[in-house]
Amino acid sequence: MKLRTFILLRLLLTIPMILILVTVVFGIMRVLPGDPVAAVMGSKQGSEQQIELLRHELGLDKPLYLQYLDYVGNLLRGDFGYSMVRQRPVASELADHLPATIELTFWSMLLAIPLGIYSGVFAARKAGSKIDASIRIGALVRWCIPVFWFGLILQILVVQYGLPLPVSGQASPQIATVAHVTGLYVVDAILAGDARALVDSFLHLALPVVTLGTTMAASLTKIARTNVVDVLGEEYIKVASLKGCPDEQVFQKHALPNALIPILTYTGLQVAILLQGAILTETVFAWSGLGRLLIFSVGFRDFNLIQGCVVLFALVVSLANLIVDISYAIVDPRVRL
Amino acid sequence: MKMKRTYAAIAAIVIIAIIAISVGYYYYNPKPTPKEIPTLVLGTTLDVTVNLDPGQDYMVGMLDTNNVVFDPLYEVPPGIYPDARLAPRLAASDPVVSPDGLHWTIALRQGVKFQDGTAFNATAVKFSFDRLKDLKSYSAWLLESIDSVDVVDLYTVRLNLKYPNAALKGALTMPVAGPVSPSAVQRMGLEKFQQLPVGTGPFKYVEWKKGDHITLAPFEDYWNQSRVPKVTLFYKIYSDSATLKLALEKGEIDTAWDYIAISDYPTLLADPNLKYAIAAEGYHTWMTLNMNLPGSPLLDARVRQAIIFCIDQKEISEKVYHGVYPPSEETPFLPGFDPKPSWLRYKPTDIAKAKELLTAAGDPNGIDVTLWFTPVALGKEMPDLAALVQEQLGRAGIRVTLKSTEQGTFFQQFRAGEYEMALGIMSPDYLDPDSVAYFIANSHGSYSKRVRLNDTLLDQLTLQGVATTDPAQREKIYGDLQDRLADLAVYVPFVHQNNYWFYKASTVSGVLSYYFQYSPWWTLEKKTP
Amino acid sequence: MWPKSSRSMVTAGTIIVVIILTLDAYSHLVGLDPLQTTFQVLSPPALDHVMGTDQLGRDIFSRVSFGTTFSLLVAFVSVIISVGTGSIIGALSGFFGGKIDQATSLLFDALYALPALVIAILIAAMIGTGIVNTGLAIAIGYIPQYFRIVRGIIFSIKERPFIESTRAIGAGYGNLIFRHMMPYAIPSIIALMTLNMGSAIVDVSGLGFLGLGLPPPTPEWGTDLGRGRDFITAGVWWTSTFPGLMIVISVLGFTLVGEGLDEIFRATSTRKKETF
Repeated sequence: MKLRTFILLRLLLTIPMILILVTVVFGIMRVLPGDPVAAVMGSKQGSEQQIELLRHELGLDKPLYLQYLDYVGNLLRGDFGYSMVRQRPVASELADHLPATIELTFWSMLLAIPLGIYSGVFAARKAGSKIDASIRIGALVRWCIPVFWFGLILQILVVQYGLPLPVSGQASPQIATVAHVTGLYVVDAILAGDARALVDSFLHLALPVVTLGTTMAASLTKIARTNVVDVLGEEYIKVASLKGCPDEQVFQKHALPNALIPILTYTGLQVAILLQGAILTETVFAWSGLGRLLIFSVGFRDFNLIQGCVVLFALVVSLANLIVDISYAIVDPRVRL
Repeated sequence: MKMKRTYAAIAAIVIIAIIAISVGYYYYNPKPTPKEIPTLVLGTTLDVTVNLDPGQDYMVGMLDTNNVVFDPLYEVPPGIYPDARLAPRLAASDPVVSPDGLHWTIALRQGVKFQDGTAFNATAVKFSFDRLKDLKSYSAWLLESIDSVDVVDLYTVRLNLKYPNAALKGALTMPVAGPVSPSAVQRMGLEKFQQLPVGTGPFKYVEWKKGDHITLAPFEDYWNQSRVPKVTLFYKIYSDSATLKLALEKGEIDTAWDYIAISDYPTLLADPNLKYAIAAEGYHTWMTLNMNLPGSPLLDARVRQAIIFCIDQKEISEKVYHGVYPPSEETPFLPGFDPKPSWLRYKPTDIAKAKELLTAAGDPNGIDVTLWFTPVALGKEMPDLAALVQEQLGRAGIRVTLKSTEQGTFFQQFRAGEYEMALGIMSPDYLDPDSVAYFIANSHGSYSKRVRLNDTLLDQLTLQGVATTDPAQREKIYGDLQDRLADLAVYVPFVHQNNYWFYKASTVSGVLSYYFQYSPWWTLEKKTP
Repeated sequence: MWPKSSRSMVTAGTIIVVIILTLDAYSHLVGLDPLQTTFQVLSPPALDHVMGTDQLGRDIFSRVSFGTTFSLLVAFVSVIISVGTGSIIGALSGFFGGKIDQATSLLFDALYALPALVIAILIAAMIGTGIVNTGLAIAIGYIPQYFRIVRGIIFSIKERPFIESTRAIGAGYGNLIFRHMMPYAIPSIIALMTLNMGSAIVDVSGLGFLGLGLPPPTPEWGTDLGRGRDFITAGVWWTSTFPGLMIVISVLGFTLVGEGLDEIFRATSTRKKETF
């Protein structure tokens, strides 16, 4: 089929997928036990009237299907609802917390992709050697280390050896707070022309990015290596070699391009795993991102906020999957059939 | 390919050079010329969960900053109890209470300005009280006894009460009762106002970045010129005590407010660069025993007493709180009131006595009970406390099943009185014994409902306690109340959660010990070393 | 080269798993007590407490060895649930095809977009803690994987002659699907199960780390690690390091076995190699 048709169909497919996700999340929240109003009131004193008032404000006294329709209707208009704990629109909360997660995941990917793919490709070319074995073992062991424990160990080491690296947060309080235009600390520092703030942001990015980046790199190494080894074993590679092409050229022109496509596709699909890692990394390093917001809202049973976070996660992952599928289709026409 | 490589190499060198220069600049840059007013960084783990509107909520994080941005009518001056007594702040003098106790006439201080320049007067006070009704705030109930407010003249207001309430003076010390600028509310609109509200206090809100920090600047035209702050306060929010402690040790912050974890105290106390002041905030940890849950062994008072005999507060203080929080040896702490030794009848810890009581109650082979707690909302040590209580009660053959639930379910069950035993924290709201007594002893009080307490004598005592303003009478009344509570054995105190306020010895001064949640930050000073 | 390295992986992994299980059995047989509190709170590793004590003075070595039972048990429960559910739905969907298949595939593709941890957090926060509850919370995120694999396999062999002939002689659907077709999926399933044991252990400890795991005072690696975190800045490193080490070792064991099996099955399988 035509590329345009494929893209259109794929885009349309995203809508029911997101709807399903929203429904699943909504279902989980409302059907399972636990009273959100009690969670918000907590140990505070308060009259029974106030509790009922709150319940009514949240629309929790309406029948379930009405609540659902309300929610989906609002969502289509871009209204994520109101956070009762934070007393402001959920969309504002999401907007406040999204940049930190984006910053963390962006720099982590920037580290992970070259590191993972290059080491995997390198290992594949030296398949069978000691270097290959060490890279494989290294990646495997790193994969087995939970991302939160890795971050903790880094923190322990920094504390024990007194290294001048910040172990938490996105920026130091002493640095005059630059105007937060985008919410991305690095970008904001550049826009404000503040070199101290820029360096400060990078220092705070160091440990979290190493933690999350190496976690992602570990799985990329394995995938890259497997794919390259598979491709190198293909017939046409042998043919090219036999024809007299120098090894390097065979590799660069024939093997690598064919291997890279599935590798990059897989990378795109890893966004879900990356976000998962980001939740834990944010907790360890105290970054105010979506992950922390989710944990916070879960603790308070703030339905709208929880739903907002999860829907946003799902949107990001769907977007990544969409991009991956479309780029794959652009590159490889066979997929569109 | 070779060309590409060269370009890549050049790009790499340039990038590295930029980074190296920046890092060098960062580390060797001479300190910026000090501004006129130094910034003091106060680190905390108390985040603002709602907004900064004093009428909206009374979660603790907000209380701290609102305490210095809004002046209440009466205040608790800094100092350790019992020297801390209520004193007039925006009020000019003590209230004149009508003989029937239903009308409080309060003269207001003159010449006071709001932080936006407008004048403070009786109209502003009336506006501030009236708006609470429309806000439907969580904290409005604190002033629930007030029916209406009248403007008598420009600087006099009259509070009309629904019933006599001697404790109202204490309630008036809370930020919810702190007047707000009516013109600011009208000018900014409610939502904006709630982000950066305007009061009369020594500090004013300058900036709030949610989840990150609040900036408070001195209000130069503050009516009490001896209390104009000498620092700009940067209230920096950390996610947990570990990062807070690290920040303190590395000098990222000048002083650490709540919440430093127990385990960190020994190293901080031993740190030569840090000093501290103690704040006895009146919080304590306790266990509540449901006295009227059908089918529960706790229906028998002897069983409840047996449980209390098993509790070793000293062991709890040592093991769970590492000696930092002292054991609490009194029936629930009544703020502003000397505790009577009613609790001593349960001392010392006596397992044999506990077993005796159980046998007398008909349970020689021990009993099975369930202990509820919520792991995070009320403090990190809850799971440890629960485990230790389980162990302590086990010594007398009481088999405890631990039930840990997230706070939604926990508070739902707790409020409905649908639990057997629960761990919690008592946090008094203001400096008056009634702020605790009513809730825990009067059958209409919310806590009493949670333990299904319904006692005629306690009901009488709580009502008498607020009907009279005579100190000697109140002392007798609340003493009797404590005795009766000890008889009934439903509230089991564990430890006092005192707060240690650590600060950098070399640069910070003016850190005062204080009593009861009132944060005298206007005394803070910072010198550049 | 392949079979040899995979064989050593499987061997190494199995040895590690056996060591851990032995440690676990040892702790039960010898009667170590992970719950006993003492006054030696937060003391560093020494002769009487080889891994030190935690904030209630409990022996960390006891907690960490006992904890093996819980982590492995919850992981196992979750793997069983996801294998069972995913495989059955996948087999049925793949076999019957048509609209039902399309709808189910869409559903699971959509679920795939939710990070498994997020689902686990939601469910754990709602239904509370406990071995089965936590296992269920984790399992949901892995069901799509089994669904896909089994569905793919069933799909590919559905049209084969021997299936047709078995149908022709009157075999019922259940018999056909589960007796004749499923066995082809078993190698992939086993490899995936072993790998998932590793991931599930990480998830259990992740939930515990976030405070959503098994209830206290259960000695679970992630919970202990998360609690131990609070003491790092006081120079107490042993409360977080040892539980974490156990997680890494056990995950490594299962992953080695799983990766090795995966390679073996791939190298010996007759179907086209998939790249991921």
